Amino acid sequence: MSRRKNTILITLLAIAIAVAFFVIRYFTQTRMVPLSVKNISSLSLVDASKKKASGKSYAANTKAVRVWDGKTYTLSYVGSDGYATSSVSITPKTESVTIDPDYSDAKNSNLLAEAMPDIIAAIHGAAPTVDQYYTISRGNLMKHGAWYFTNLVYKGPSDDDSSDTLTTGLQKVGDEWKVALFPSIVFTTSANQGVSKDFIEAANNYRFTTVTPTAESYY
Amino acid sequence: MQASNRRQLVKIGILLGVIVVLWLGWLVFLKTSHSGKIGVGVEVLPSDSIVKIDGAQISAGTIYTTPGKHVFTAEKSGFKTANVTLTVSSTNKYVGLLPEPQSDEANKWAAQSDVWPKREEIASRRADAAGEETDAQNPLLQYLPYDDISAPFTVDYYFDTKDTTKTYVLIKNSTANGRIRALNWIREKGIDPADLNITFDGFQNPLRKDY
Repeated sequence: MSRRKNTILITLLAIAIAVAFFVIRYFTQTRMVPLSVKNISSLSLVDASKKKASGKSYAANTKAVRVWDGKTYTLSYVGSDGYATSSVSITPKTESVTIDPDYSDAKNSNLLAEAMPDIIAAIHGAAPTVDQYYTISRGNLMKHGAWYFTNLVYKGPSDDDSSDTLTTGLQKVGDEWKVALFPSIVFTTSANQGVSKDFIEAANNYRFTTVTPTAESYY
Repeated sequence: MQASNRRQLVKIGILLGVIVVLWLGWLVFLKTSHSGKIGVGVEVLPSDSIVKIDGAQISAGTIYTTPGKHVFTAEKSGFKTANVTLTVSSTNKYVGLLPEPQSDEANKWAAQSDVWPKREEIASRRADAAGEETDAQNPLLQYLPYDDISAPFTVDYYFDTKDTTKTYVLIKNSTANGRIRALNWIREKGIDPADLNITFDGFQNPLRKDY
């Protein structure tokens, strides 16, 4: 065999090994994350570690996306008409993603206006003296109009020992609204057994984003 | 000469191919044999003790087992059998087995100068692992007690008198504003308040009186 042929053979072997390495690396270090999506018009995936904001776009009916192990991604979606636009994270621990956007703010607002009398009645039923101590805020609907969270703002002096704003969570069961989380400062799974963790976390999130400390110091 | 070069190249190619196949095979073996299992470090002294997991004999070292409760034992003639029940998880994966010497011969063995430091090492690793597990189960405890005099609030903890594995987070020395800050402080530590048992000292829910 000529020296030239040997060189070509060795080069081809090196290329084959390099290609095999990258192919093996791709298939052993990436994984498919199954998607279950509805009520969206588009999707895009962005590597969260990269500064570049643009990502790979996918059709609304995409069934899975391929991601590198150990990386975190942001999967953004645009909701269909009447549905919210938002995003979800795909972390190294994410096994699958379900995207079922909530209603848009405008749609929730219309639904809430209709539901408010029943919601107020349910809160009065669970806490009959609520109006004596608190003002019921307007609150928010979630979960396609099936969950409702609101804050109860203390009416008395702000330096009362128990002047805390409370939060409550209601669920729509059939056509009826029921208080699932009695007005409280914070909700824990241990104190609310029988209530789903999703609901408890949503109630806490609502509280933490709407009840913020004042800047003034005690001293 | 050219023919021998060609043979050598073929041999190198075959060798590389075998290495790649073996490597892939090893990866597949590791992935399938350890799938759904957790590597648990098992140390034992005396090292020739018979070690068992759930009654099945194993060798000390790293063993792979399913998450959940497992009983590890170490037996040796002249020693009291060591038993450790471990709830294996990604944060709880160390077992140090130290059968206690009972017979004269076993006590003689234990009196050797190099035995005591080795036992201490294993006992120390066992205590560290237990501490890490407590922290893993209650990650907030490592920060407590915590005082913020300007907020104001104090976050402390106490154990349930009937079940010492159950801890309560106590928010005290506080105002309404301070309680908001205390909960925010807990969240800043990466801990979800929903997972805790939280009690407030000094707060009385006015609505509870009528509930």
